[in-house]
Amino acid sequence: MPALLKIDGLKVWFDTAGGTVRAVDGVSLDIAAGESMALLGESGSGKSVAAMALLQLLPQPAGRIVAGRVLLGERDLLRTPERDMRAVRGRRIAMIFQEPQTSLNPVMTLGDQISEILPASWPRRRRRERVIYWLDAVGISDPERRYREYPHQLSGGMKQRAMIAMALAGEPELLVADEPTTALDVTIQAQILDLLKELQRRTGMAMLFITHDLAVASQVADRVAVMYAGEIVESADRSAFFGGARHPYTQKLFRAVPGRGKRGEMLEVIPGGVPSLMQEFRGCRFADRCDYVWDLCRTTMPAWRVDSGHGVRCHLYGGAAGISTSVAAPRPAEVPVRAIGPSQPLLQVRDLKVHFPIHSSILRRVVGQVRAVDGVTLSVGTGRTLALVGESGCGKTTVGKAILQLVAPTAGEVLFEGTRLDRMTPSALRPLRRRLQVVFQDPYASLDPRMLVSEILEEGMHAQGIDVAAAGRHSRARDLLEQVGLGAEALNRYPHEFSGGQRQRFCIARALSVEPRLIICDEPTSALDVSVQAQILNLLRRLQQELSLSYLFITHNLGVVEYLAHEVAVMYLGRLVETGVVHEVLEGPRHPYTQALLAAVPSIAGNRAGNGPVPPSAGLPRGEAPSPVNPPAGCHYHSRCPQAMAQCRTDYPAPTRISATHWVRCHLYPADPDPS
Amino acid sequence: MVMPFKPVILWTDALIYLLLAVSIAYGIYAARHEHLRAPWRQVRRNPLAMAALIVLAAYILTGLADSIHFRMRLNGPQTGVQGPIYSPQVLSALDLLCAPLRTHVEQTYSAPFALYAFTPQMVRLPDGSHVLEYPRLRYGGAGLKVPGDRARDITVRCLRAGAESLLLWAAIVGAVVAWCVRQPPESLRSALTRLARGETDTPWRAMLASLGAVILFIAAVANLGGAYHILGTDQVGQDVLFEAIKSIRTGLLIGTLTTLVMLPFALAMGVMAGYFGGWVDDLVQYIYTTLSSIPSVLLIVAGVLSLDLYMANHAAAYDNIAQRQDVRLLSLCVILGVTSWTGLCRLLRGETMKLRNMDYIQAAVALGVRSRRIMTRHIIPNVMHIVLIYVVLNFSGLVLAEAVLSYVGVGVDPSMNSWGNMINGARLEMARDPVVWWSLAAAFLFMFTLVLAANLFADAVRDAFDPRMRK
Repeated sequence: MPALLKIDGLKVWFDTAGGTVRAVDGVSLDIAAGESMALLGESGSGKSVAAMALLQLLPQPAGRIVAGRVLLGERDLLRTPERDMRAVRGRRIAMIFQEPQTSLNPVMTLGDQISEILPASWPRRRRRERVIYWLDAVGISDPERRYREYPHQLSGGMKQRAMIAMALAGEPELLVADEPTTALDVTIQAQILDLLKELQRRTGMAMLFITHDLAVASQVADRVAVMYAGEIVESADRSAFFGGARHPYTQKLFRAVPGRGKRGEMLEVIPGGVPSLMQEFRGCRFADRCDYVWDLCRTTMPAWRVDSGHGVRCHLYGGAAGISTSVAAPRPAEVPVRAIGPSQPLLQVRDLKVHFPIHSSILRRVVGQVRAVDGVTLSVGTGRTLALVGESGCGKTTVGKAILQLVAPTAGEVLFEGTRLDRMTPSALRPLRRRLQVVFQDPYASLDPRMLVSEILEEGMHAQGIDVAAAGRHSRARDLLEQVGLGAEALNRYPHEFSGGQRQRFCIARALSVEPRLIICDEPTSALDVSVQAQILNLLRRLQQELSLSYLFITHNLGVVEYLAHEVAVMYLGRLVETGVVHEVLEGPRHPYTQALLAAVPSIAGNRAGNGPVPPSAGLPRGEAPSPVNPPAGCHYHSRCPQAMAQCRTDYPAPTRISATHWVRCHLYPADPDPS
Repeated sequence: MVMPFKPVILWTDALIYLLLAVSIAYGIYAARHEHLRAPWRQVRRNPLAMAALIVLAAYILTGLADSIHFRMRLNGPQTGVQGPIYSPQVLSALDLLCAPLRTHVEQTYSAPFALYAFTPQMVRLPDGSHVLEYPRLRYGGAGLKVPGDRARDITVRCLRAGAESLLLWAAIVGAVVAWCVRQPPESLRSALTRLARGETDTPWRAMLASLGAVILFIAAVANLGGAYHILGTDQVGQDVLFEAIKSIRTGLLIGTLTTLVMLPFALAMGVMAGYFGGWVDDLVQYIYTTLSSIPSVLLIVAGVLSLDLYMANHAAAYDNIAQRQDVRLLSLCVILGVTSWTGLCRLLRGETMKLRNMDYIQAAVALGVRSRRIMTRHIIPNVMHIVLIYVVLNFSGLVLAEAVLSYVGVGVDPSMNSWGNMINGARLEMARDPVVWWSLAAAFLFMFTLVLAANLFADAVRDAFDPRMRK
């Protein structure tokens, strides 16, 4: 098949105050008509910059294209003047971005924005019909009404659909999708991926799908290319790639993804970080982090070798060794999951409710309540991990904050070691706070940029009166850094000098500084790359075993749950719908919502036969979660549930006991006669 | 041993010394903290800002020299008084430096570089008859034997000023080059080329150019000021250039002390309102919405007039003219501060509300850190960039405000040297025929230079400190 788009030796450099960053350093890629190509890479690998360069959308004047050609048919896009590029953008190559919230103009109606893509010579009526056609095609219900609506009236998933409609309205030959599902919930992600595949099948366009997620790539791609530090290190067909990745980096990535299969062992971690792109590389870029590194790797750049369509840039596959030699990976160390039976509950939460009043704008009268948390009961035992799972907006973060008394609960009890936390005055609570700590999601927002690492670590000790002498605090801070795997030289530096993973280690060290019994981890790995996520998860698990810590692990990533948790609680719109021991819930989910969540998780389907993309996932929930201001009557989930019955619309289901540890709230299962 | 002078510390002097101490302390603190040093380093790399800083420094040094006050000892006969007697007139170090400018007082108006008075006077001739003529000035061009020599004399003095300043400037350039060569070591030639091309890390070329201009100006004043009235004289014969130079202190004081007065209010109220919310927030909001709803000119007029009344009733306490001027100036600063803190307070309240929900504040709460410590350790350091930006941007506005208020008649004491008073006086001068333009022009020139330099510098500071401006 002739290539639709041919990228040849593309180099994009950025001039910064510190020097020249070679963000993209010689990328070559072919995309055939109708093909979907996944460009896979961690943050900072240059994948987005490469895509921006295709359309000449690089930030000027910092970014410049140093070398290379991008051929769309016969035309070299890099040498096309700006005036002619306008005819290419949107018409021949369209782009969708990661963040649907900021990609739509908030003061224009949806209809007007999408109409802009269509030829201005068309009569208004024809354009309107066309826009409504596309809105309908991307699965936006009631397109006539949506045509007149503004972006803020749409939910996140709807906005991304609208972005896709906008991209498709120009009927492009190639769609560049830059992490289009990263900001979305897993159920919405599955819907959008299905939609993209369906549209691709119908229109026959090609797609360049940029992602950091191996599983997402396996869902959408015909071919996969892996980028590392500005160059492509491996490229292959989907089945060949997921059947047997060749480059050591790719192999490591596969082993770093958490899942239940890896429950008993430490996750594979890639030591170190992506090398600085300000240097001119002499050897292999991955050499410093590679297990198989030998002298040649440090002196000679590996050449690009292709064998039956599977290209790789690694010395292991050159010369006499023969390209088909697959490299055997050393097995990671086995760490047995300590079998801890049900223990004394450390934290007990009974019927916790957090409602936020909505004030009318002028008189500040309360006009409604956001029922962020609406009756949650859970308990965490000593040395155990409870995973609280749910989509964004379901109130799981608020549960964490209410337990920590960072927001005041409206009703219910929070008992920690038998003490009611919710009735205490702030000053009485202060000494108890050292038993109960928190690690937040965003490592960039959770460290004060104006404080030294040592000050950050010593703040809690100072507040709690641990080691009053400064020297004692210093040595404790050093010990803490060692405990989280960092050196003492970090103490006199500022957080901004460190990477996301290192910062998250500081956050964990800060939490440990006051010797807590329970740490509430609020999505601590969701802002991190896969290889770094593995480091943090391993660390959390090691600390749990060494210090017999308990975790309340708040997450939306079921892979992490499978890897780390003992018990799971699934939350939907402020209420728990199912709780149980991890294998019960994940292997035998009872509630339709839990089943849907599990079905929506993209899986790396590598050993599946055939080369076509995975068929649309079945059993996905319809639409998106309703607002917690006005939850549906009866069972909250009935509006999206494929198995909803008449009863679901009127009564909230009572808990049903499946086993001694497994509870579910659903009318499909007969309620307990005696729910005590 | 009796000192030849007795130091006098006015209220505003004390506050200026305090401000100086605070600035030096901030400088030391900033040098030790990377998050503060980095943006200042960015300011240091900006050629325009550094050139403006040189001009600002010249103004500030002048203002500081004018803030060292004392009373000279009188050498007259001591009749029955124990100890030395000091003059009732309070002088400043600047007054001594500019002694010729201060003491060369003519009868009335004279044009720049004039030899004769601007207005004709009745002169009694030796024969007893009276004639209306333009009398020769007492000091302006007094050294000339023949009036026709004026052009030649001015040229000679200008050339001498040029030569002197060139010599001094060359010495400074040499010192800078020597420093550049040393650190890091490089050849003299390459150091010179880099300097001439403006490729040095610190923009020496721009700084030296603006320093050259400042030196040239000072040398010209030193050479010409004693012999002529460079910018003419005003109605009472005072040298206008001297008035404009003396006004520098007034302008700087209004621009900085006002900030000093309002800063504690704005910072404390803004941060507390934002952090605690609830009734504290309601109270602070109530106060500043009320204050900002009153027209500020009205508030200032009311304040100044009641102060005038108070000083008239307690005339004995303000016997000294310098003291009276000083109290009036300080109270103007306070009144301006009271009316202008609301803007900063509002900004700080908003920023604090944003910060309060940041994860690191939440983590501090979860660690059991007390509210006061959270505010001082986490919130205030993280809003300081807003304070700094607001202060430098506000400075030029306040200098201009003084001019406007003095023009309206509610500014500083009418006897005090200030650009506003000069402009106020120019109201009548502009109506004369021929026009007396030099007072207005001098005030405009000095104020314009200060405000322009301050604005250029403030822009660079904002670019460096505002996180939204950073790339």
